[in-house]
Amino acid sequence: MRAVLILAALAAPAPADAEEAARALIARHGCGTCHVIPGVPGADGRTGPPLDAMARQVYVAGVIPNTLEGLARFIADPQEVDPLSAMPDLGLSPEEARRLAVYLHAAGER
Amino acid sequence: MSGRLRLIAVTAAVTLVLAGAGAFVLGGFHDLSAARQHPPWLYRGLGLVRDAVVAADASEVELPEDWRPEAAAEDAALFQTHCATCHGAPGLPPAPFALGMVPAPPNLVAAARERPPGEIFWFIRDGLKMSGMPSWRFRLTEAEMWRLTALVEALPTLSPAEYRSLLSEAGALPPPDGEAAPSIGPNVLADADPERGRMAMRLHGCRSCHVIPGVVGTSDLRVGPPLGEAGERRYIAGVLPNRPEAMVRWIMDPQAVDPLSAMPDLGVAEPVARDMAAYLYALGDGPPAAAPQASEGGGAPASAEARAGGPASSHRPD
Ligand code: HEC
Ligand code: HEC
Ligand code: HEC
Repeated sequence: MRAVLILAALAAPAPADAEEAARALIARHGCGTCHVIPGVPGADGRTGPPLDAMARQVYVAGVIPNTLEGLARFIADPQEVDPLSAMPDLGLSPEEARRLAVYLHAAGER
Repeated sequence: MSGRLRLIAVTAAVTLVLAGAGAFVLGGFHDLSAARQHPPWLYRGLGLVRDAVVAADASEVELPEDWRPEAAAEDAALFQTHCATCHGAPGLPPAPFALGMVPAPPNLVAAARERPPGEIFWFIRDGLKMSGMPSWRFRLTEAEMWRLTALVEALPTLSPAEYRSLLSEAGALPPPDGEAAPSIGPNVLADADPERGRMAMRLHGCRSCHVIPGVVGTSDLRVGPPLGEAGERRYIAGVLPNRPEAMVRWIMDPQAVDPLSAMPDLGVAEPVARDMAAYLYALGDGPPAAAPQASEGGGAPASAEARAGGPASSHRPD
């Protein structure tokens, strides 16, 4: 499981760039107004759960397995995963969502 | 025996007796009630010793040639019959008797993420003395034990809905409990007793999925979210605005609120759910005051939170 995550992370663009790009996306979409996010100053929202240990969570949003694909799917369109979810659809592309998923899975491990 | 040797022997014996008595008292062994929890240090110590011994023993287990994690319908049925009674399964509760076991049977989705297949197989074949985990030698064949190992290692890839459809494919889906979704009156926290709620959470297996301050168990467990801040979050499970009645309703029957949820219906009675809710709110400053207004459009929440209120209220059935 963990090996798969690490491999997936390695396949992404150079880590430092990818992290920067992810932080920029997080800032642009205001994820920090609703979430505590490690490595992102000012991300201290309490509307959604803290995203400080995503890699260790068994489920995403309590409803689907926490794989990279599952996490990306939820970020791209929360209501597609759980029609009842209170997280808004922020209109991210699948690529952007995947980049954030990689970032969040790596963030808890630092 | 010389005087010196005798002195050493006596000192050693006295030390042993004192250490034993110390462990007996400090470790709480004078109170063997399953309703009392172990002190945290003892729980952690026992876990460390167990894991070291199991890792050493299981290193001799050899995986069959073609073994790989796999979720087959008939193996899910086997798991449901023999294992889910104690351990529960994705979205499905254990049998009521298992909720009062100490140690609580761990959640195996979490275990599968941590343990290699050799260790899972070892637990199934050998069981664990003085814990309630049976040895399945003579009751399951070696092949069945490996198939169960394959299923357990595949659990982290299954949503509760997928697990249920495997069971129904094998004709092994337990019937719904037939209870109507609970309807909860107002003032749910009026006579609630947080301390009783804390004990009730231990004896309903809540700690096998959640880290809960004041309740001893595996640290760093994340099947469900840590509950230390559950009372203060704006939403319960990301779907219900956080109000005491909603909290009680969630605890009593989560899947009546959100059918997709991985939290099972643990058969918590209403007065007990009130006590649990009271404990969760007592861990923080009580329910967030803004929550009801935020979802009903009457408050003045920050802009992003207002946006969260939008999709939530348009999708919510109540
Ligand atoms: C009578 C209740 C009971 C049944 C039935 C049962 N178990 Fe267990 N099992 C336990 C308990 C209690 C423990 C906790 C042992 C401990 O203290 O670590 C446990 C521990 C385990 C563990 C180790 C988990 C960990 O991370 O520590 C595995 C794996 C496991 N069981 C698998 C199974 C499988 C597979 C089956 C079905 C073949 C099964 N169990 C049936 C009670 C049960
Ligand atoms: C089999 C694992 C499991 C057990 C046992 C379990 N839960 Fe949960 N719980 C979850 C999951 C998964 C979620 C997230 C659900 C979702 O978002 O749909 C959750 C969510 C919650 C929440 C909402 C937390 C938040 O911050 O939004 C509360 C409160 C809660 N559980 C209380 C309890 C109580 C009390 C018990 C014992 C009666 C219990 N749980 C037993 C898995 C479990
Ligand atoms: C308006 C508030 C809001 C904004 C903005 C927001 N979220 Fe969420 N988020 C939530 C809520 C509420 C939940 C809980 C939803 C659920 O459980 O169904 C959630 C859940 C999540 C989860 C699942 C957490 C878990 O514990 O399983 C992830 C991951 C997530 N959000 C990521 C993001 C990212 C990335 C962004 C920015 C692109 C973002 N969120 C923006 C409110 C928000």
